[in-house]
Amino acid sequence: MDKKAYQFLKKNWPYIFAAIILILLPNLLSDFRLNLFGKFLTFAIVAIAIDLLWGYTGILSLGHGVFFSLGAYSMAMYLKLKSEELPDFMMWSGLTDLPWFWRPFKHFWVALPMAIIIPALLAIIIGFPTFRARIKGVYFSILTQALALVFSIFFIGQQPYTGGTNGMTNFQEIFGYSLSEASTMRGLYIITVIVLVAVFILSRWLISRKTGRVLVAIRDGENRLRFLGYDPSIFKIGIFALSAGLSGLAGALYVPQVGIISPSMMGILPSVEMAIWVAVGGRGTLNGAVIGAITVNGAKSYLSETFPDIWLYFLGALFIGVVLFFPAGVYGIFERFKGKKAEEKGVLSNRGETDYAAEK
Amino acid sequence: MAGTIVYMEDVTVDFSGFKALNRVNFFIDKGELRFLIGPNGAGKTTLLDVICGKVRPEKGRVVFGDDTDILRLSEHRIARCGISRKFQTPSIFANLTVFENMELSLKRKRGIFSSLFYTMNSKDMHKIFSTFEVVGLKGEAHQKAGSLSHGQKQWLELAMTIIQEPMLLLVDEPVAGMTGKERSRTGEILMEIAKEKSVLVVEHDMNFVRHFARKVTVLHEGGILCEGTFEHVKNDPVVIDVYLGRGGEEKEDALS
Amino acid sequence: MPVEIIISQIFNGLSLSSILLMIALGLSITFGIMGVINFAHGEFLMIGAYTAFILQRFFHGQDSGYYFLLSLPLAFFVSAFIGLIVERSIIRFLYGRPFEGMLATWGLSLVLQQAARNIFGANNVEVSSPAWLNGGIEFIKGVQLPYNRLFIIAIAVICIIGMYIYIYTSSSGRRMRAVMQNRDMAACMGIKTRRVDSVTFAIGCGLAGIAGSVVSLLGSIGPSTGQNYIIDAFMVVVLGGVGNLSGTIAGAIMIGAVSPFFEFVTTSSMGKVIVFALVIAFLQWRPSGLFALKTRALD
Repeated sequence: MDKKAYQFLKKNWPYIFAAIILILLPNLLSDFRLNLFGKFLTFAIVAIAIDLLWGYTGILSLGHGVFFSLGAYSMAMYLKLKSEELPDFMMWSGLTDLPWFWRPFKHFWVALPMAIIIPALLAIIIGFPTFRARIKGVYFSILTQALALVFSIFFIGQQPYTGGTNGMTNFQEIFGYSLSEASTMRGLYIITVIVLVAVFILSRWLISRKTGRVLVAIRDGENRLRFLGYDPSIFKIGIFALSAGLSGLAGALYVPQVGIISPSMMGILPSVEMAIWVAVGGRGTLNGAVIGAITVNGAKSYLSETFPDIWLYFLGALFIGVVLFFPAGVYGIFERFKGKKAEEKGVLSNRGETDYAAEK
Repeated sequence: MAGTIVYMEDVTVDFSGFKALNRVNFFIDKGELRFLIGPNGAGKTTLLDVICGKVRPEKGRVVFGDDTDILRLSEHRIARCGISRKFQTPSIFANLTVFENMELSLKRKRGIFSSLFYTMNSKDMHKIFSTFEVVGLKGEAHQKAGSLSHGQKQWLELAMTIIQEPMLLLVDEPVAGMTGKERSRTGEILMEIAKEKSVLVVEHDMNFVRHFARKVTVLHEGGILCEGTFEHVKNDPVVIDVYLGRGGEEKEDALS
Repeated sequence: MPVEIIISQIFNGLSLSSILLMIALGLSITFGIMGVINFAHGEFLMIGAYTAFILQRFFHGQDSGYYFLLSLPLAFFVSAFIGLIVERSIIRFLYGRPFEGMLATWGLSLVLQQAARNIFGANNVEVSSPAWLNGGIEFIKGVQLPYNRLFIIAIAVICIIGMYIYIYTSSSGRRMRAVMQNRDMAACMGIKTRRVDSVTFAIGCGLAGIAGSVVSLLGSIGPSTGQNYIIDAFMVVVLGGVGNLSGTIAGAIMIGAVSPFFEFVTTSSMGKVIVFALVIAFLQWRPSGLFALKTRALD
């Protein structure tokens, strides 16, 4: 038993170490920085969701801003109704009654599941016809990009129901805690850390199962897999829906911490950026996705504060540079060093064979 | 064992004007080892493609087993019925290990949730490793499949088709790119499989066919030219004509 | 709906089709030949538009406005030249890596837009239509077909005919088709594939540049002008099938005709939703585009 615990620690110490740091951060950072970092962690959840889809299954979605925002809007509707009987933008557009589809969002336990279910449902609605028709690769990416455009235009156009271009803001409280209190923010931060860790563990588990191998097989040879009796489109729809649902969850955590959600988060720009986080971190590794989301956003907020005029050049150059020179991403560089070491030691996985020998 | 395992009637496949198969009637009995030969472009691979669902014919009927209409099923459903396929160029999952390739090919429930909660039991493990022993890949089990040599990839794919526990194996050029020794090993493996299952092999290598074939079907220009034992086929004047490649018209005449 | 409105809607749709076609052609051939989806393609349209703007400033005060004709070839060459530089420095490292290609070219599009903002300012600028394009033909009573839209359609037709002649009759076009169909084989036959790539990419960018210069006839232009058209152009490529000239034409006509119609009948935001849904519905019927060939490859 002790040996097992030791093995576990030996294998997972970097993760435990990282989790401890994340939990301790509220004592180390200023409230402003902590809030910013909490936002990055919600982005890290999106990055994991995209990595499951892109890194493992080979499906690049350029529309994850939509799923993220749908989750965020669900939570924002709840927060808005907590603050006001009838949201301000509805009054401005001359509505006197709450629309029927807004009503259930008065309840937290409706709004939170909806933040996951609505994006997942949208993913199924989009995924079902496209994956079944075997649309893949760049075609799918282009379609999801169009989805991002269509949704952002649609949300801007429906001003009375969505708040239009300005989106939703001016939230007062959550569970009776004021959103302007630093302590509430710290609480939200801790919740975000817990959700991130949970999502990370869930994804690791998923990847370690046979499903994980099926996903990689879809990435490497979808058509071959059909002849082994698998229906890739079902798996693709499933992973797309899961990825969308996780992004929605991240959006729901984002809104109370940032205090605003608007269509600018669902457009093409943020959606492509989300894919870039994963590319920078290193796709196909969950660690890479998390690292990528945090570093890119850290760099972005530093650069946009320090060089407001030219930071877009940095951003653009970063994307080009990473793709051209570090196709495996930041984590890939790290892994390469580690990989060499592991090989020298002769550490190779021998899953299966030992059991077989034992069986004999 | 009686009856046919697969039965094709009047099948026509048209690739934008080019008739890859032209009104083909064809069947294989249960437990048969059949070789399919013919010059390039004869439609051999297309015939396999039709049976496994990769290509949909414009016309015709394909029945598997007693009454399964293959043309109504999607590829994965056909595979689940018990038809497995080895492709001409080795098609394996390069980024998975040899072992994982086999794990995916096991005949188990293949839905999302069943593969999420699947754990390998000792029976499956045994199956995989005994198949490895047949094809000689035991030492490579935990290597990435992409790092195998060409011949090893061929064997891996063959192992994957076997472990699906199919009723019918479609094997496309199993010995391409293999050395002489490897060839006879592959032939033995095929003979072994054919003891229990039906096997349809497409092969170019005449020495190989001569050695292992019991019954041979010759395809030419999308139609069936001749069928019988290798000796019979070899001495058929029409077949000789096609293989030696003298003029086109004569062939047409000889056919009718 | 009155006939007059229908006719003028169709006509507006056709001119939109023409612009989309000029953009989509470049997208489609560069994807067909190098497997790179160029997300910065819209920015080459922007470059063409700014070229027309600069030219107008240069000829400021000349009333006749025939200098505008000069902006067409100039926009072509400026965009093609910048395209050539981009191909040599970035695109060629992305061959056969479509996903990474999308991200890198998207980064490039950010850089180009920001550059335009720094050079020309963030606000849109106006390119005044030359005098000879004001007015229009009275098609039937109450329906006027504006000259500038007729002009756009004419330019698009000329570009298409030019591309047809280039691709199907010139030896350079034949090399292009050869590389598109089988790069390795073409290389073995002694075709300098690298050069074909560069030339193709540059031509594609040049066409977008021409589109940009005519877009300036329809309204003000700005750093994000390219973004307004690029998604629709992508839809055209998806509908038409990659590297397929006739498919691209048909796709452009469909998108150009359908989207203004729905935006007119409903609202502009609802119209976009409907068109998107229609594209997905269409792909159920023809997943690989309008004129896809049946092939035998496994992937």
